[in-house]
Amino acid sequence: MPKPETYAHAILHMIQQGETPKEAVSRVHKALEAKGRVGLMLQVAHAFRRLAQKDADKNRSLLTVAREKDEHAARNAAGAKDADVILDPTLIGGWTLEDKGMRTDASWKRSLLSIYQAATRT
Amino acid sequence: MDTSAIEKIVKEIELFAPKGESSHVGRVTAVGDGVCAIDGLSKAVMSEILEFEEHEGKSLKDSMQHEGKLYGLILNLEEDSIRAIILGDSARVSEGMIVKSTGKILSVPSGEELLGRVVNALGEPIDGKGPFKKATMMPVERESYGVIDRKSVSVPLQTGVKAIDAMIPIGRGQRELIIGDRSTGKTTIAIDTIINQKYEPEDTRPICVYVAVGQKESKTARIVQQLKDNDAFSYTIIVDAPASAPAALQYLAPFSGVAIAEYFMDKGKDVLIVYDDLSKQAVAYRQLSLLLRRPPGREAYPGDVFYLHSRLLERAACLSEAKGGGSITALPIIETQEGDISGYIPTNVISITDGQIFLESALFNKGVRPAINVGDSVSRVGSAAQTKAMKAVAGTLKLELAQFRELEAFMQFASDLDKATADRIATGQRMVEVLKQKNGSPMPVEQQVIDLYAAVHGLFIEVPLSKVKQAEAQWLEFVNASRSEILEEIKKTGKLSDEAKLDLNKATEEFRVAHKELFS
Repeated sequence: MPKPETYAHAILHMIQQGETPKEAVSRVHKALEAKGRVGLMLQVAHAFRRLAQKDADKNRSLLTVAREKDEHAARNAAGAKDADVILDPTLIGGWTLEDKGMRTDASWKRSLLSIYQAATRT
Repeated sequence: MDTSAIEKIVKEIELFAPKGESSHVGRVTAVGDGVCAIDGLSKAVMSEILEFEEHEGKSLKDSMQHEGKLYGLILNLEEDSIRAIILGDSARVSEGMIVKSTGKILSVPSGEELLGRVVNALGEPIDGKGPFKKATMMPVERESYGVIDRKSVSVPLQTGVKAIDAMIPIGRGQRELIIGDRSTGKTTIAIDTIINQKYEPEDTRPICVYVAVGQKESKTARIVQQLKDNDAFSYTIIVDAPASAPAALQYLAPFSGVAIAEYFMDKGKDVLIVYDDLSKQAVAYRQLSLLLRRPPGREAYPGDVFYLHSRLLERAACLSEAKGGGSITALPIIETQEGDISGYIPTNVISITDGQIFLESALFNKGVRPAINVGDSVSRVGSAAQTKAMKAVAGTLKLELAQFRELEAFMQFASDLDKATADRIATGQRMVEVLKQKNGSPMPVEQQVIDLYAAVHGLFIEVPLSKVKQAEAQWLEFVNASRSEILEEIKKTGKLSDEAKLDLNKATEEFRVAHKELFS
């Protein structure tokens, strides 16, 4: 028996294919009605929220810089003009960019750590 | 920090120009009991190694204090997430942690450098002797060799245990199960076999790999010491996944062991691998499968527990000359409950292997050690690899012992038995005495042949039962002193010539005269 997540996936897929949210929800509602499982709609809604959030996160560009003043240079270097920016002083310098499931790490912390690891490896 | 390390760092700083390093990433959404769920990583593949990014949000100083990298292994690919087992301390993983895809399949180091070393299931040294410098990485999961690449088993693997070499012979490339209840001597047989390889010529001596799964650390330490004391550690590698290790490592250890062994087999060498034991590996795999929410089957084991063992044991092989002629002989161990060999895992492994050595608590408690039940033990391919000398002396041994076991029940009516039956019982009793062997004292094959020759030719029939072991020791001493050329011939050719037989018959007569006190 399909889980609420499966119906939520179906709604998201239909919307991405160009259907209006109302149409998509009504089609899923009909399908659930036919199976006598309308009570599942609330859980489908929760699952859809989680799924949509995950989807939005996946498509979000996130640029992390060590200091506020590095933002401009980091945007240019990372080629991330529209990315959201957050501060993380532990990076020491440089930046990291998370975009579409890829993470590019050009932070000083990573470089310093790799130097330390190379030097202390016996 | 020493000056050389400081110099290295200074040089690195001078050349410092940070470049971006890109990787596919996901985030941990749930973690517990050595298993975690991860979102993202849409391009991940099955059995891929993942690296947990522990440095995020931590200062450089804190990051420097981490003890090595933490890895995971993907075991489930689901619709919109993946599940992985954590290859290390799962307390180091937290929700929201970044996980990097490595694009690599799990591999372990192997090579001559590993000989005489103790490693964990990931191939990392745990004996404090430092890291490996020139090791070759071998994939933990690899397809086994096909039919064309194999040849029939033809070279014997001497265990040094008389009862096995005579009646349940093992060939190089064979898979022989050692099965029995707890404390019946399963590990002892395996360790004696490893020790016995020291009698083999160095160029043909099998490399030994002992994989300890779910064992007590004290037991593994004792085994290491025993191997060292017997000069057997220099050609042995220990892979240790103790009872305290996470289930993921206990599941992986046998695969890591065979990956290490395959390096030597691919180089044309013979390898002996002991899996001690596969029932504990099956339990670890059951734990992981349940945590990964795979459907449970019989006794809650997952449906692929047969495949777990079959794909492991299929990697034991005797390769054709075209493939270098190397071999892996596998001695898997299975622990039974109350002697029940019809359990799920025992029957699975019995059906996969080429025979089994069945050890019985009742025999063990009677003082018959090794406590091998000759009737239930079998070697399906080993007889093709048995030396001619051994075949000549042990041809009817198994049958005679089986007959003795049947007649044994009538021993309490000894006074009413006819002479033929009484003689058969007396012979059987002496044969059982001869086949007894002390823990940690494997016997070279030429000595076994001499010993069994005397036993099957009735030398000990007139010796009182209590003096059989003494007579046996003296007989071996006598032949070693007076007929050493026969021993040399057996060792060199593997045959017992007619002249040698005549000479041995003469020797038995001389022995009777020289040791009258033994024959009453």
